[in-house]
Amino acid sequence: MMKINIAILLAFCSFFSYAQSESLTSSPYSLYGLGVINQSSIGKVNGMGYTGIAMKPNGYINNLNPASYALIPQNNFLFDIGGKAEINNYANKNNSENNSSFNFSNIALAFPINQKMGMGFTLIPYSQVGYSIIGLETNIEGSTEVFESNILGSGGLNEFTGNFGFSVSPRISVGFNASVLFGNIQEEENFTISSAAFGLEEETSYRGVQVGFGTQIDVLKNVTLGATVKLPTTLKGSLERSTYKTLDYNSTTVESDVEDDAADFDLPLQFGLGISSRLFNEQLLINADYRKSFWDATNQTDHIGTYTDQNSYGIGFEYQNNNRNNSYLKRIAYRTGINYDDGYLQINDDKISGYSFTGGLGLPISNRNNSTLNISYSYGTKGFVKNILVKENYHLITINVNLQDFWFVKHFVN
Amino acid sequence: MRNTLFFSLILLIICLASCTEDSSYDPDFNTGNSFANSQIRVIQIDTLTIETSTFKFDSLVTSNANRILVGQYKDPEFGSVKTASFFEILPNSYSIDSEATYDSIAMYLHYDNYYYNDTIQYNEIHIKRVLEKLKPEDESFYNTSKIDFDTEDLGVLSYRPRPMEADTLEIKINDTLGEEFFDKLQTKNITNSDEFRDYFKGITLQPGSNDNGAVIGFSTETTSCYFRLYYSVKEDTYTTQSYIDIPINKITDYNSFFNQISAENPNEYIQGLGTQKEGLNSTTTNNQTYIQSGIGIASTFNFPSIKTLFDIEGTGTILDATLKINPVIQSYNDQLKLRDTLNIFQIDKNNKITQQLTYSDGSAVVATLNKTDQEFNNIYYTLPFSTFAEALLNSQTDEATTFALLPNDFQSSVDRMMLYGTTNDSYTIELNLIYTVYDED
Repeated sequence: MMKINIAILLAFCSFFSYAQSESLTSSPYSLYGLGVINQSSIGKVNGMGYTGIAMKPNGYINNLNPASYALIPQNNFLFDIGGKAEINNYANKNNSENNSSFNFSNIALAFPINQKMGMGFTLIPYSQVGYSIIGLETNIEGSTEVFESNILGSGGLNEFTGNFGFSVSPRISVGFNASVLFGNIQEEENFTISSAAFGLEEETSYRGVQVGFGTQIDVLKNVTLGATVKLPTTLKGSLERSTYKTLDYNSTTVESDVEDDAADFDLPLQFGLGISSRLFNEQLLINADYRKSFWDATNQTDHIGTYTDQNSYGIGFEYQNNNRNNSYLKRIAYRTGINYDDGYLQINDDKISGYSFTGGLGLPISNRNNSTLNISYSYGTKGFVKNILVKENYHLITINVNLQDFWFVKHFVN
Repeated sequence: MRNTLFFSLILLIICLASCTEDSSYDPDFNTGNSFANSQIRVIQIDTLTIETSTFKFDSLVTSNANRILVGQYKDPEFGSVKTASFFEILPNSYSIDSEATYDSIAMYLHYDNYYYNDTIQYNEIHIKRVLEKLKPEDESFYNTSKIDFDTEDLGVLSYRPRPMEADTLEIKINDTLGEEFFDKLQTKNITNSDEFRDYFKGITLQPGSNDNGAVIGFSTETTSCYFRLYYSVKEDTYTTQSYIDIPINKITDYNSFFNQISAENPNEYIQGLGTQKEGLNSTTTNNQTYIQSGIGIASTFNFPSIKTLFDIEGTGTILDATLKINPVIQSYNDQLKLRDTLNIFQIDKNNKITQQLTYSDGSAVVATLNKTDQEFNNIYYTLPFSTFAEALLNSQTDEATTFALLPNDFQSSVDRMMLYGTTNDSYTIELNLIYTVYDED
């Protein structure tokens, strides 16, 4: 047993270091703000249209609502680790292009404290930056000529969250979480004008803490309502800048790692409402979620983009014949869902909305517990081809392993 | 069993996560303009104030030159330009066979390919005997130095210069002098250089007083500039011819060689030039500045308001600075040519040269003549000035640093030119600056 714990610890450590890796996405929209905000979560919600605010965990980690941590069964230890592969197609009026990437998507663990309390930790990418804009033409002031610059961006933020859930009564549980958001975003811009070249490299570090609350209430025997709220917060930005140029064909460093102020980034108030129901002998699970992020109040713009209130809607289904059946096929969980997001970014007068269809399988890897290999596929689209805008279609595959183990009881069994 | 499964799954995923690589984003995808804004401003500035002036060196050291300059011409702007050369000659040997008899003597001169102005005209070279010891009071002679010489010619040549050819000029020398040399050597009257120098102090090469052609450069190599004293030695049945060379002397512990260069009656503006430290601003010289090597007239420029670049909001840096300098139209022609390049010197407030501008690799910074548009009178010098503009911008002092423009061999040539100053409307001197602001705060 110790072996597993050490392995988990090691895995956590290695992910902490890996989480800071480069260019996780290539979306041109990641130019704005902190990059493209990550939608995928932990476990089976990825196959269910990213829904689950009201979903009872039932042997899984549900990171969408901290209240769900209250319901981790005694002597259980839950561990979930995942990665995702993404194939993107970008198109605008003139051209289109494919790109693919594979990355870590989450690492999470959860355990009960006592019969009424549970807690857990998750590490999830919060946002991803990866773009290159080639041949951006800008007027040379004082002339009719332009210079062409290339802008490259990479990096992203991660979110490390501590969750705590508590059952107030058999029907009501509440939860609290606190996230540390951290990470670096690198931006590079360079250009040449006749014989002169110039390069600017900026690395902006963001740090901040966000807290949230959640509750899950069983209103009927098979129907649960959920609600979450995340309080607005400010991520402190600090910037290190290096600039290079050539002067009379000699390369020189203008500035090296000069620290400068970076604009702080505000995260908005966010709330979510969900309903979850188990029907037909608990064989069918239905989730419906609504989430709203009040970006308007943050009053933020970047480049030509403005942050605006975001609404997202999702519905998800899971069918599982019987998780204790002898037939492996009957123990497989089948999932599907739809998610629509009207976008948090407005460019000119267009909101960059997106939707996704998801499907997934939960493949049991043990017949004694809920340890499952979850595979989900999502096809989505974001933005649209109009004027300068880019439409992005993506295929996203997430794979994660949910491991359930029993602590403390093992000695007795052996 | 289960432990092993757990363990291997975790390892597998760690491996997957750490071994993966993103396919690199193909940068051909052009999101199009105005999808994003550049974070950088680039500003072109060509309105920076430039002050231009002309000054004249009190004197130029001409002793160090490796060129004999002889010639005279009348320049419509710079006056009557005259160059003459002074130097010692010393025999290669001090012994002549006692049986020998004197034949003749001549002087030989090789072109060194330098010339200025009209080589179609006939030029004269008058060789005259110097009457003073050719030893400067201080270390060197100057373009303005005066040396007494005998007005009588030792030899004279009227010729049409062909300076680009490997020709040698031969000038017959007065036999009276030749015989005198011969006798003094043959009779051992003179046996060493000191004795010869006491007896014959040197020569000067003077242009004809009515010449109006070109200034020609000759080499100062001892094998290119020499007298040759011919004599015959009678053997029993035949006569052998022999000679002694008496070349130019350039290896002494003092400078005995120099070129005297003068220009008389130039235009009123050049005449107005006073002492070296009193430059004339181009506003008082017809909005023109002047350069004349040999005489030591130089154009200068400075940027008194370059620090106004700091008034541009934000943090920025100079990316490029090019100075464009226009020669005065019709001030030059095929004879009175423009130099292809000009060197740049930093000067102090007394107009003394402090250093020549060079790049970090030691090569000289030069203003280069751009002739591609010549037929439209659009002919100008460009001077890449970025490094120095940046140094000026970042210098601690507020005092403007001044730079002078001169041809590279300005102590041994007579090239001249006229440049437009700052206030001429269509052909003003101009600094084209490209400045970038990368941080708006």
